[in-house]
Amino acid sequence: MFKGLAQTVYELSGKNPYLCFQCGICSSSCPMIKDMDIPPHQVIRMIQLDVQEVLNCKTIWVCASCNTCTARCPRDVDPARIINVLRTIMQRKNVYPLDLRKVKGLDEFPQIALISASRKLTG
Amino acid sequence: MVDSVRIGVYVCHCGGNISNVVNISEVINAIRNVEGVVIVRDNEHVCSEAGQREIQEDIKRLNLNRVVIAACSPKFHGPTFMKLIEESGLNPYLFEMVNIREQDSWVHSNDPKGATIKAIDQIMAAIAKVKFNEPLQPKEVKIGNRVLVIGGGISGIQTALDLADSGCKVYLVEREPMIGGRMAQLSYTFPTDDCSLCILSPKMAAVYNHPNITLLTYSEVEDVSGSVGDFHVKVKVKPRYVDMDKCVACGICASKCPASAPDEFNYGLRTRRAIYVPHEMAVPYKYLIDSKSCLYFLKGICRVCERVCPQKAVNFNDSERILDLVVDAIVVATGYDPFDATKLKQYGYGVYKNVIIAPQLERMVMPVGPTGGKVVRLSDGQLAKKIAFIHCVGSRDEQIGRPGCSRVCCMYSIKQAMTLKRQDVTRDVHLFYIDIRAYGKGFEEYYSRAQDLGVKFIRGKVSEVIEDPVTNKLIVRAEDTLTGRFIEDEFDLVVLSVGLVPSHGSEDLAKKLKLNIGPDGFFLEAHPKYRPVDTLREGVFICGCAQGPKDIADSVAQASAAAGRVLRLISQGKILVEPIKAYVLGDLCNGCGICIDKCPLGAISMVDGKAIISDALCVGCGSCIPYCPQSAIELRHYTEKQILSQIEAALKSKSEGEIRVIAFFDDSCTYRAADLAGTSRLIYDDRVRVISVPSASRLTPRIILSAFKYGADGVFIGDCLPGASPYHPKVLDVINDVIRDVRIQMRKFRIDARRLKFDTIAVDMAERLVKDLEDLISIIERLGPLKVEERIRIKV
Amino acid sequence: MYYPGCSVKDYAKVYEETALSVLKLFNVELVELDRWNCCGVVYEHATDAIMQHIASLRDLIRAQEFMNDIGDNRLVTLCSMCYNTLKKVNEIVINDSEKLKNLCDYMDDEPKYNCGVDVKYILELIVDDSIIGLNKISSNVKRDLKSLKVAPFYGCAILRPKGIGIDDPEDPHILSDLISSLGAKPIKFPYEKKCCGSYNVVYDRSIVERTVSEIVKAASRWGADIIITTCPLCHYNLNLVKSKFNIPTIYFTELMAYALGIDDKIPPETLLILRSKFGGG
Repeated sequence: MFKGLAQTVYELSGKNPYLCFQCGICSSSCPMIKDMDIPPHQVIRMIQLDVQEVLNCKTIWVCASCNTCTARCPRDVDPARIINVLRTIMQRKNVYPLDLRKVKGLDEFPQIALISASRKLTG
Repeated sequence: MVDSVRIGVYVCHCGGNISNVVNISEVINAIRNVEGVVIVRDNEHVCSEAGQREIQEDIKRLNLNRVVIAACSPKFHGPTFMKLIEESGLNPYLFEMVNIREQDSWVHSNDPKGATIKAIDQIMAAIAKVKFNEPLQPKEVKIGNRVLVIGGGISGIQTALDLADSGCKVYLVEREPMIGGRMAQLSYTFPTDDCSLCILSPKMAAVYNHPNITLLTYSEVEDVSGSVGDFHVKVKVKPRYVDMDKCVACGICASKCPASAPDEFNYGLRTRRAIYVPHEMAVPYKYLIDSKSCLYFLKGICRVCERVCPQKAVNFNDSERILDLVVDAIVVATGYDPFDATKLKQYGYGVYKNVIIAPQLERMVMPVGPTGGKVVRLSDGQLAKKIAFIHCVGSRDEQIGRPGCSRVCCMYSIKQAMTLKRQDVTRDVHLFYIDIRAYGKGFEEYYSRAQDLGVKFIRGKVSEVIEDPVTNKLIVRAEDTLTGRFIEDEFDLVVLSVGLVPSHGSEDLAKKLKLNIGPDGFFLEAHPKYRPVDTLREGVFICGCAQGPKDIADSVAQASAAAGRVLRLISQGKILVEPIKAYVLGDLCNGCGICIDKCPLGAISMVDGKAIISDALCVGCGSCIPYCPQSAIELRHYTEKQILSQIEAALKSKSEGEIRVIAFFDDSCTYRAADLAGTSRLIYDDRVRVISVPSASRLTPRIILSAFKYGADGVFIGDCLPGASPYHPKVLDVINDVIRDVRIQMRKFRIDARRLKFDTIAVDMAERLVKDLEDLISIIERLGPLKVEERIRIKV
Repeated sequence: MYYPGCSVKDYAKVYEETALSVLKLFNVELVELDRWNCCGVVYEHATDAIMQHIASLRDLIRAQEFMNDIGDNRLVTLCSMCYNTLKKVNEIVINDSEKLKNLCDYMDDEPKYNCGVDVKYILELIVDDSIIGLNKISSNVKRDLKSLKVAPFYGCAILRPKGIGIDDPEDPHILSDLISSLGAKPIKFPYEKKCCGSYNVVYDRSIVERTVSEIVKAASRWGADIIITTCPLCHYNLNLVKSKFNIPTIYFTELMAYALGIDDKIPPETLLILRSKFGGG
């Protein structure tokens, strides 16, 4: 149905990125927005325009999957799902930011933090 | 059936369009000797002057009492020929037209032999049917000029004035104590910035004083029965407890009244007394008592107003009255309600004092309004200097089930923003939008002016509004999508640009009037493009925001349009009701009453233990027919016999080992899609024989199984897309019920389920239809034709 | 049936202990699942990532085996992230029989899952009148907490997405109601439903410090003394800035235990905090 990145995203997420009409509510709802280099709505825009560089952005790793954007999106695009799918694409390419061996003080963290971090931020 | 039918058959060459594929002489030879056929002629162009004259003369000379014309699609020249037949002195329903162009020569050009056989079969089917055709007369219904208009807003007022000025007797029913509706609550109107009440008041006065308008305020429609030309309406007139003839609106009663209630006209921004006049320019300008807040009704005390009224107008013995009206047509103009913003908790409306909705701001800017024209923070009464507007509250939002745009909010927000700036140019006004919809005449220029005035536009939907607990300032969060910057800004006042939703009570009214509601809750028009103010129910019209969100200009246009449609309906003093309707065979009816609920138009009722179908309410879909356990309902011109005779005749030429599919097309959508396949010259298999029905909901399991029994190896049924049927939106439910029943029986008779196919087809889905037919044929080729043993098993 | 998850056995041990003892007071017994494994957090969004659901499905199968023994099909979790993941996977396999078949076929040494388990979060049990109910809680409160201002913090996992969330994601009230029933003053504030930053804390602590600072600062501005939370990760993250704003974060079950007088399970630090916050005995 689509070409390029949009098709991959559609297949993996089951959500159509072209439905997004760029209202920006996802970005303004996002608790992590200040730590993101590209705001969520622009990530979706870049998928629409097949801009491959979006896979290298910091945003897809900072997303905490809190689903606030999904709960508010007026077009039901599920931005959280789409951004996480981009993350999955990179993980499957073996690209990820966290190396647990380099983290200091591992035993201080609650187990849930380590498990979810290794799930989301490593391969 | 007439014993001595004398049928004339006319086959058209269509200037080669048909004759290049279909072998006309073969067709003529095959038909010449059929019983009842008196003459068969062919002609280059049957529709030409000469061709038509030939038919006319034959009818006279040869005493023809049935005519079959095989030519182009009946959608093309059908009306032409029906007129010709009528002018020749024959009832136009004693005529059948066979489509051997769009649905034969143009789509089977790859197989002239097969196309010729198909032409013969279809003509045979028409001949078989026409033998059973009865002469039918449209019924004449007298119609007068009494019109009921429901709703006294600008749309209702405009319709009422247009009709009354044209001599109609109009009843205008309005459930509030005054007319003017939502327009009376507005400050100024875009794009002219006229004062709303100033342009509304002359119209309200005209209604009040018009000799042809009976104004019934504080009244509601309780019940509606009957049909066009004879609607019986019960109107409940609620008690005001103040005699309108005596009240001079001096206001002494209100000044003494101890009870109060929130002022609805001002959206709760101030209070009014229990005895009150709705607003300063209300029409009629009379007081009334609100029994829900009056101390006498609540606790049995007080009655001060009664004592102090110098005119002795207060009457606590007033009671509800029911008026019985008889009208010829009805116009629904019930308007809209603003979206209830408390549903979107993230914006804090109803919790934070300084978050208001746009209609409240309309009231605040009015000098006679609740804050004396000053736009203030409700928390402390200070003038608001920094104001944010949040667009699309309650519109364009899948999360709350309101995906549609409310059309007017962008414009009214811009208007309000400009008002705020004009009051105080140092104000900081921000509009947070997704898109700016300034589509109308002068609208884009209006938007430009706002930008010129310094109104700030930020493209980003606001995610939440938070009130700081200490300063009471409102923090608004949005993303400026055009720069990608996150905005978190403080405001004195936040205005929610709420969308338009259907007026409360619309659903109930729709049930009373037997009207359809669209998925957005507004009344459904008969067709969005070319019948925007009609409904599917004859004699009932809709206009204004009742039909969907729109501004005043469009509402007035629709209101006048509805008046025009009413005038058109009643202009001849009579209307002709088309005769293709369902009717009950009284002898077979056992009075079980199952059909009554099955008719979505409420056309069936029980009289003396037998079901009776009202010709005026029946639309001729036949949905009732499959449910009658006695098979006691028939559809004129499409009786079971007429359909079965077509099927039998169409399959007669089939020989052993051949495959045939009987395709039932609904007359509005699937048939037209098949014609489109013809005009597009799409090629498909010619082993399909078409039977046209008004709606596939007329088909019973008996008819469908008979198709198999008579020789069909596959059956295709096509009807309109969900909700698109011109008859009513529920036909699909009926068809699905029937198909379910047929599949159960097919299982019982061990006939492969894949031989039956159903699809919903829109007029433009020619390719889809062709694919459906081709797919069905290939399945049947794989399965093979139905064996004789299988056919014998079928019991109908 | 009770699914503990990784953290409550170690970092969040106090959560489990206080929770179980509070429930015990009302005669609600949580029976721990046998042979449970990691719940499979975090839920994987890609539609073809079927293998990532195996861990969760295995837990559901364990629950399925167990439920006949104890006669109840409800699987309760304490950790909100476990709740979210287990419930999401449960919804998926209930609605997509092909996925379920693939997963079950892969785990051919496990019995087939019959979609009979109902995943619940502990708060749902607490407010359910047929199990405990807020009235019963109020009537059992032993300490007078009325001058204690408690801010509820839900985080994201128990509120979103719709269908999984146990309360309205824009305006939840389940914790506020609980706080009121315990006699304390609930401080409802707009940041109660924000995400704490979650797993980012492992990667870059400053990211989480920024998000939780906003939350705790707001709690302070709205006048809260302490914050209660439902998730071990939120607990950790919010407490990173505990001293900066002088607002500690405790598990809601600790507050419940304190109100109901079950002191023996409450860790001394928490008792110290609670006593110092309003000086009650």
